[in-house]
Amino acid sequence: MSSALPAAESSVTRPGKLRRPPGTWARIRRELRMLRSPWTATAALLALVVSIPILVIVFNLFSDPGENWEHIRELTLPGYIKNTAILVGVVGLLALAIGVPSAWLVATCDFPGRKIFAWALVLPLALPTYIAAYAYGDILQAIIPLQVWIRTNWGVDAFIIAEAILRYGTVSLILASVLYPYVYLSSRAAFSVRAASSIEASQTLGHSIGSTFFRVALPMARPAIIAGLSLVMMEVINDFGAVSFFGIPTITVGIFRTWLALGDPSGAVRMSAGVMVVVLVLLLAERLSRGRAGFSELGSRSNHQAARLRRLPKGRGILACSFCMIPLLFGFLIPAGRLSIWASQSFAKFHFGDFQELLVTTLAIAVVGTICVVAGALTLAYAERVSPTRLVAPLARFSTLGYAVPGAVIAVGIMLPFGWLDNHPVAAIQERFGLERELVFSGTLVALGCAYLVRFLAVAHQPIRSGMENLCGNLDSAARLLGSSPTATLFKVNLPLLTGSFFAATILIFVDVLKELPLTLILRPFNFETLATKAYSLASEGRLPECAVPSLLVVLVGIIGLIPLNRLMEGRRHV
Amino acid sequence: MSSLKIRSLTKHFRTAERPAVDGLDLTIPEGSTLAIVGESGSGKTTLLRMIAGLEIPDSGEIRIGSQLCSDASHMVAPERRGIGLVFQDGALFPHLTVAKNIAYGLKKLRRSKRHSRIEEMLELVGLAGYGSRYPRELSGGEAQRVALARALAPEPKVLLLDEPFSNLDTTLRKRLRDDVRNILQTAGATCLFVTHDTEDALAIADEIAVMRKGELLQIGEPAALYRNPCDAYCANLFGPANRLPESFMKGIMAQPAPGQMGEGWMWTRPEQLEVLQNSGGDAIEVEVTEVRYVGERQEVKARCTALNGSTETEDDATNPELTLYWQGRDDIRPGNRLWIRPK
Repeated sequence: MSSALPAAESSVTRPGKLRRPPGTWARIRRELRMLRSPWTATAALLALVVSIPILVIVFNLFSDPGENWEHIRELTLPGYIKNTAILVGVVGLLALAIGVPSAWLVATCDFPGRKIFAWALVLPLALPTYIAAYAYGDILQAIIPLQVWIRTNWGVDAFIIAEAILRYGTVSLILASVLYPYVYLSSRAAFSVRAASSIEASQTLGHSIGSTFFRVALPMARPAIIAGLSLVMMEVINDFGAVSFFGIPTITVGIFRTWLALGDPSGAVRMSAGVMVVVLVLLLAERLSRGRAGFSELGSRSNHQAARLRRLPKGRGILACSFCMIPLLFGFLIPAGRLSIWASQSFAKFHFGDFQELLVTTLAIAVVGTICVVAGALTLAYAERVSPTRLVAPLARFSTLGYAVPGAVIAVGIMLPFGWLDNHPVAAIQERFGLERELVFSGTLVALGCAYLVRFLAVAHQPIRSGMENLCGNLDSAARLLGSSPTATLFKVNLPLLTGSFFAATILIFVDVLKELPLTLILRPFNFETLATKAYSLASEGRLPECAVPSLLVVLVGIIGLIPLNRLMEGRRHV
Repeated sequence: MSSLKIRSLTKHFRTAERPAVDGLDLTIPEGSTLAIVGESGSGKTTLLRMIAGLEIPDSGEIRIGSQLCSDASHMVAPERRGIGLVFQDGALFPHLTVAKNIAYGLKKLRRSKRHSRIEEMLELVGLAGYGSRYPRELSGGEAQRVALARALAPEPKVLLLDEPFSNLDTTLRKRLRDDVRNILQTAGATCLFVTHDTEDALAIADEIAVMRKGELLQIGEPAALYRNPCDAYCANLFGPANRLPESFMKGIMAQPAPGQMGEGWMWTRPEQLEVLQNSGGDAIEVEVTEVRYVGERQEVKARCTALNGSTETEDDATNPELTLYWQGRDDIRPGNRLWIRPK
């Protein structure tokens, strides 16, 4: 009886049975076979097109550097890099100094005007950096008396230093006052929702509110804050309008100059590659800062409860209110107010016909761009959902890298291959058939459309994809089993349930395309003006009051774009 | 309706250590209902998804009726298999009314016929008049009925049910279980039903298969599985089971196949044992270790004193814990002595 085994575990292994997973080669073959499925193939094609500019820049790095390169590297490049680094650093610090405290105040304290500040602090985001710069365009003239005073009292050397400090400081302040909302939005979401219960727990354990902020709230919000900060930094690198207006040659300005003024594409490519490396490092740092567990996402979302607000005593309440008022004032009220005043003065100078044409062109390009980008993003997101292969996810991740690459870099990466196409195959065909020599790719709307696709695909992909992730996969399966093909399932089940995120994506892209400057500036067809480029050209001619009209229109459209952005950054659900 | 035949079906996920489904063979005759019982992670849902075409098998064959749906060289898309699937959460389309949900799979039917089919299905699941409601206006049980109606409406060759009752509360679950059995019988569907709840399986299925770690351990009619389990796992799955020496139990249960059970031991259900307060005849003595009230009776845990002299050895291999049902007038307390013998 003692030999009796517990009568469990029928561990009978039948011989000759497959115990190993299929080998690597079998799997790769299977994945490749999947490429025949139309959705996977489309996604792969899309990813290929979108990665062209990035690949072009990487490959051109190995080509022969032009004769100018030595000159650029020794004389101008160090300056570009130094300027960019200073600006990115200072603007980043300023954005943190404004964004984090204001987010903390709005998320956890009750003070006069809190509810208004909660959304109003986002408003500066409606101003593209170049338009904010134009609105403050005459500020340097206002401080000339101060500069004169410095020169007469402290001498020329002090004047030069003071002038540089004033100029950099002014530009940094302007950029920070319209870019801080990225930090504000992401850290507010972290404070008010994700960290709420931990903040309360810390207080019950006897920590003061100050100690709680530094020991619990700030560490928990760190990934979110860094995510917001990295967006700010990328915007600074991407900016062309503001820095060129104030004469601070950053690397983006450098790319423009090398390409357009020096006529040296290979130099521009080299600089672009450098920028891309920096941006990728930034992205990687952001990813790493989230840590192993991605603790910003801890806990199930449905359990989150917003923090209870702490009522501030009267004096401190007024202090909090004034603190929040400063960025709102400088980031939105003053520039928007000035633009409005200028616009009302100069509106009469616009010919109605010109203005109408400008509006129609802008809207047309924004609509076409939006359709391209949103359709691309939808294809990619849905391919990720239906494709049985694992190939699509990395492809999607790769093809949405473009949002981090500055517009000027993408423009270079598009111009090179498109210019080659026009100069070689297209020219040959046109010659062969006796057609008139015409540009088909470069300098046409095709190039511009592609560039928008590269730059904004991620912006549309993110909300659509997260919307799809919130849709239960069983709905798709149910539709398939009831006889719908994958494509029919997309239109009959997924899209009707995704209207929220789809709408958000559409508005975001529409606004982004409409206010986009550097890409449009380089790639636009001859004599092609949008509101953004019109504002740029008027401002660079020094006609600030006139540039107010198109600028103000861009800002108005931008305000509409804040609605979905606000929701997205808060990480709310979109179903 | 068609039969469902599965031959040496295997699926091994890349991240997993062992196959989710491991060389599985299975046949369901036309019009009969098979329940697969297994705990989570046993591979039962993967099996179901492979049959539906939502998951691609590594190897093996799936045949629905005469149609070969999946083998090494080709694979029929889910929408062409003619399979109905009722999901755990119902998966009703939230943007469509109940009627449109049911109509979703009926695109080949003419408009007039479609309407009468919807009515017929709503009637079948006892929800006539609910056609214009939206899924969010339904209770959990109603939603599952609609899901069933939606899956049955296009007259699938095989109907698959994936834990359809697991999101419902106990009372609703019991009621819906009986309803589903009747609906399936009325519809005459070939049906594969996957659950972790043996009560679901016993109530609905013509045959039950026990699945564990990607393999089927035992297939049979509900009564046969209950009375004659092939091993400890199957025995305990369907309720408390007692392991007693074979010499003692001779003749109570049908003789198990040799080698299956562990030598010298046999399984009995508590209701197959008579519990006495006094010694007598061939009854053996047990000592009560734990008592639980479950309404009409007391559930008693006890260990044999006779097996190796005392209850000190709490070694389940040599002196297993027994579960007994006591329905006598006196309350039993831990430490009491009782005597048991086969009924």
